[in-house]
Amino acid sequence: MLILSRFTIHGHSMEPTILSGQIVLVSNIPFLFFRPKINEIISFKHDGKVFIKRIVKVNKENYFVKGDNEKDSFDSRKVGWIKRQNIIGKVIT
Amino acid sequence: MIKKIFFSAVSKVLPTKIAYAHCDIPCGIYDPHAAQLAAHTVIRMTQMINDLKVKGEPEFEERKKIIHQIARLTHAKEEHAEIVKHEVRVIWGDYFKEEHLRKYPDLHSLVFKIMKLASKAKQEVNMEAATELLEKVQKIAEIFFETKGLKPVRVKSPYPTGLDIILHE
Repeated sequence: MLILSRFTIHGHSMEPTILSGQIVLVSNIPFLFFRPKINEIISFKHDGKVFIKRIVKVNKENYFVKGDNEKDSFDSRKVGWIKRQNIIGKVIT
Repeated sequence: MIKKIFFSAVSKVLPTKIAYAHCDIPCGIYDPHAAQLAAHTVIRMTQMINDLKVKGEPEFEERKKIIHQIARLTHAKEEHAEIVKHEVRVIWGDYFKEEHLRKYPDLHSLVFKIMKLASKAKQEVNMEAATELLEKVQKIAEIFFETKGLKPVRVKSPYPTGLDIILHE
């Protein structure tokens, strides 16, 4: 079970909030008690890779995520809604 | 302060993994300039082929030179028409998104026309097709800059084609 993980960010889609090369911590602890909410930055699995994006819509157990750098982000607009079970944790830094 | 110390300590202990803030490789570096440049080259090659002149019945050496020159020009025309197709396909397939299609509903048909015109410009020595190809590529450039929030501007290119190029303010 993931409690705390450290990730190096590759890509510019979360700029200016998180820059490419920046290190962030991700924890699943917040989501043990609360559901992921709109505006939270999460990490999730898609196609065997880990991504980070911001939640912009919630529909039951499905989450629509977008990069803060909207004009240049590979996100739910291309890959669709993210299922709850694929969410790894909340970006806490 | 405590958060900072905690983060620093944890960062040193935990192994790092990769998370993608994916912007689709190569990270948003898209530009319609290469397509425009290649479309100008197709026009220029067509002009140069059309400009080749033969006086009377040339000697073998002269014929050889002309054939050689036509081969080179045709090769460059083929190559650059293919570059147009490649560059436009990348912008269309990797950069443009659903929201752009909603705003520019003719985008798919515009790309389709570019593919067909580039093929025609390869198959024939056809100035009309080559010129129309450039016009369509310029349209893609205008749309591209607009989607980036930039105002496209049409300026006279410094190339011997004497035609325009689309830049942005």
